[in-house]
Amino acid sequence: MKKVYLVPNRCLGCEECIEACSKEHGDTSRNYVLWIDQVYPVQLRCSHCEDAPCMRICPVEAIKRNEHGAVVIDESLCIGCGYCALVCPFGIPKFAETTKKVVKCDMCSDRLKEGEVPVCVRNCPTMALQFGEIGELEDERRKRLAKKVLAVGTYLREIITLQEA
Amino acid sequence: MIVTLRKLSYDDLKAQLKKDDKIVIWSCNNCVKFCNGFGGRQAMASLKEKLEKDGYNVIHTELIGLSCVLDLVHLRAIEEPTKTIFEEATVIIPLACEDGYENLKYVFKKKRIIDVPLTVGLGVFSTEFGALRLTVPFENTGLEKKIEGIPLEEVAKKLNAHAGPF
Repeated sequence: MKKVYLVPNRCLGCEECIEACSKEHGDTSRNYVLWIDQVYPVQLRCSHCEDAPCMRICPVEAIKRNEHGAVVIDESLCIGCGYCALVCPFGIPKFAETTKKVVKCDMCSDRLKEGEVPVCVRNCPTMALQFGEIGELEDERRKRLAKKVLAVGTYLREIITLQEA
Repeated sequence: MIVTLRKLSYDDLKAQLKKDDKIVIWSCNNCVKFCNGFGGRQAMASLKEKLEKDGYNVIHTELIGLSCVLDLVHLRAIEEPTKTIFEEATVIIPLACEDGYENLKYVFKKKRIIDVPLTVGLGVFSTEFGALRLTVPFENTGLEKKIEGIPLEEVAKKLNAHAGPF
């Protein structure tokens, strides 16, 4: 299943993901950027967990997994009890004062239907947010590392060859 | 990160605005936030409040992650809800570095972009100092590189500019 993942060392904490999210949904953002020790930004968003605690605890079964694998809240069913927010290990679901319902990331399912990526991913200027299968992203990471290892190997071979000559 | 000061005082800024202008305050949310709070959400909110108190018409505040990424600036011009807002605006006040200012001029060609920023070099943020300091000044500033950095108030004084929010 494709999801949004964070490459932490790329995040500048510019909060463009937050701005893009609130514009896309016409209300408050569904993700967060927290600053640790004033210096280190950490972006948090719904992980659309495989075994989602929010889905399990919702007393009215308003939280379901949609065709894209996103864990979404059906606002027409939500009673605003906030249990999902309490059990979420990332503290993502947010109580909206205006509607008295809980809102959370739906992985921009409308955009996914159009074949686009979630808006936070599109707008992230440093590509710290990546959309894909975890396996694919890990593969890419391994390929990048393999290229570095190869470069080191080539460098060492050149040094050794020079010494032998 | 980039170190940016203000060329204008609040009174200088007001002198460049008209009461019937439709003003958008624009701010980056990265380097300038660390430049003694020259930019960022708080700086935009306080400037908006000041201008409105003085009778100016601020129609919108726009926060952008980085104005130095032209694509992000361009998105504001072509996508709703900001497209309509920027079409209506007559003037944009950039709380950004000079690169951001140039990008705004490029994207919003028909709008008046107030020449606010004075970018003076590169700086280092350290919790030890609790603020951003200028470590690598641009040549045209006439200032020297210092590993411990120069406080922005001092730089502003030397360059006859202003540090921090309006």
